[in-house]
Amino acid sequence: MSDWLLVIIRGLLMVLVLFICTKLLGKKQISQLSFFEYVTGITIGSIGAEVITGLDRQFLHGVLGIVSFISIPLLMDYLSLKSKKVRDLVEGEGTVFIQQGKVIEENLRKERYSTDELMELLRRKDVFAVSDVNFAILEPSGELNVLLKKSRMPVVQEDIKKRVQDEKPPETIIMDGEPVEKALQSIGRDIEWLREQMRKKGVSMSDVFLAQISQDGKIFLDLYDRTENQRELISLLKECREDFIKISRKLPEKEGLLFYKNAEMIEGFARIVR
Amino acid sequence: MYEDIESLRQKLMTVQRWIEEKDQALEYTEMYDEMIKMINELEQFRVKVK
Repeated sequence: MSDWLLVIIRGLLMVLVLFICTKLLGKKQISQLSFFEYVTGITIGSIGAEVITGLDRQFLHGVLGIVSFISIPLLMDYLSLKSKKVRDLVEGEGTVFIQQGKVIEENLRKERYSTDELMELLRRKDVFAVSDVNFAILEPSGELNVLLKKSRMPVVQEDIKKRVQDEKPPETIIMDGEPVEKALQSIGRDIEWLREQMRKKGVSMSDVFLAQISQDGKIFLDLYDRTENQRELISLLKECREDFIKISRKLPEKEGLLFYKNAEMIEGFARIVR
Repeated sequence: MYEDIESLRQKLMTVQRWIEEKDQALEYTEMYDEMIKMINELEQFRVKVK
């Protein structure tokens, strides 16, 4: 078998071996790699490359080398899960850089961080003044986590003294020009109150396509999109309806009922015009 | 009573005229027919009351 073909075959096999090894090592992101995982990644890559191109070397030896190397981080992962001491040893501990607004210089020196680098890390967290920081810790991953002073923390709902009630959806109190009695009852109001509200807003209920009342009592109105002609016809029909009702009250019951029915019919026509 | 009925009849006739003049799309034909009926009924009732 020619050398170039052997290199291709070894390369393909090694890709397979490395693929399996990386699967075994888990799904940690590069930034989350521990020291052992970092060293293992570099080493098995080197061994793989050496075995693929070094035709004088046994392929199986290379695979054994890789397997023995990945067994170390796997073992360390297992021990880290079982013991905090091992975890601290393998993954490292966080180093406090700032405590109650005071930079701990000794820790900065220990981790070989300059003041500029510390400020850069703070700025990445949108912090521009050390005095705003209550606590800052450099995690083993190299990330700086910052706890701001109470006075510099964003306000959350609980901080507001005013008791905030859970938001309720608004009630629909007029739909298609008609009052929604159930909704009015649920807010402790009646139709008379609604008429008064509409009067204040200079509209009649029949002009309203949709009206909603929010929890804080604000009324939202959506009026019908009518032309001037339609408004004129509705106005005429309203007058007719009121006259029919007025006359029905003056008549004996039987005839009065006929007039009242006509009033209802007129109301129906007004709804069609909407 | 007579005046009330006459006033209402006039208003219904105004609606009738409105439909004749402005309802080009013939959307309100049913309303128009009912208006005619009501106007006639009121006419009879007006005579009766008188």
